[in-house]
Amino acid sequence: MNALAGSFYLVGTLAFVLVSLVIGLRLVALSRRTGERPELYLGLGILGTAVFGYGAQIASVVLRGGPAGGNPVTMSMVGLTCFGKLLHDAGVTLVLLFVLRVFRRGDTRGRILFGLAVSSLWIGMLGLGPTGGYEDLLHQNVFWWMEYAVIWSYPLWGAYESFRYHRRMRKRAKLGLADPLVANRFLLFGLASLGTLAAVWITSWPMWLSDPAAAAPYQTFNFLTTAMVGIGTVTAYSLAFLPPAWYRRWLAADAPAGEPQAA
Amino acid sequence: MVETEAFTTVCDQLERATGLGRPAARGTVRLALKEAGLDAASVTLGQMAVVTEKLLPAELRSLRIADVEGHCQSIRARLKRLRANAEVADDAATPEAVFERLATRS
Repeated sequence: MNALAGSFYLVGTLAFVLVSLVIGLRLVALSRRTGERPELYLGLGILGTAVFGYGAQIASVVLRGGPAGGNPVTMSMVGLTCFGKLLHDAGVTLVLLFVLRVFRRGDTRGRILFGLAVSSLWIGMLGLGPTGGYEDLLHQNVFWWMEYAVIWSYPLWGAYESFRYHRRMRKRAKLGLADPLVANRFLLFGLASLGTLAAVWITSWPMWLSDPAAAAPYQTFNFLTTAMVGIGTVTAYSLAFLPPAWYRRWLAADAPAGEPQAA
Repeated sequence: MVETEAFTTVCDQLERATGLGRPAARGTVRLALKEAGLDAASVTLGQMAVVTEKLLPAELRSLRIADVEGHCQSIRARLKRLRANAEVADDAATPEAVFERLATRS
């Protein structure tokens, strides 16, 4: 059962990374064409968190023989951990910058929230190195908590803003003032943000245990739920950023007939 | 708080035509905008015209204003003139504009 769950986890992880890679690259290419920043922030943010940062950190854990580490820690493992964290936290920063720029442009409270989150993330990440956090992945000190407090919560901001804006867009769409496909994209982005949050929580809750081995009986559950959440998240991303024709048609069927689009 | 020309135009005209006080006129328009998922800080002339046609009449009727259709029609005519003279420049930074672009084929 555990082997089957492990295979499913592998498939889910690969799907998550590959789809994130395609979407991230498309958004970066789009930003080169439009010259606009939001798509660049989100594209690089997805590449940093879901593809390269996540990939490097997984590789580091595999080389160590697990989070608790069965193999002796070498400098290359430490370097890979540091590199992965650097890419991942840069990605988190860019995703937060996307949310700030798109939903809270010129808003002081938004800037303060962004400043607090990014400060906590980077002080934690940089402070963790000299205090042994790159050698021992389960070494929890104040820097570890500062970094993980942000990693465990940052998708909530994007989810909240997207769902709030989706509610407004649905009202507009009823009057013919918004495209239902665009309105739906806010919902999908919110769901994908919640999926990211769920994946982070599921994979990292064993870190809270004083003895990580105590989480072993739940490994199958963790594999299955992480894979399902990962597949759900990339499905939401795909429908949002690469909507197939049938999905566009399905949403267009909900649009009020003959309504003018008012710019 | 920042308010667009579309919002202030409708409020001013409503105030003059119906005798509503300034706070009442602005509150009424804000209620109609909220119903449409819009706000005074970002509503465009085109969006305001749709709100004036579809939602504002009901708000004004609830205040027992006379000749609601006539007032709304003259407001729409004013908005139409402003739109004709305005240099229409889409704001590429609104959440709606950004999310519309995100699925564009590059």
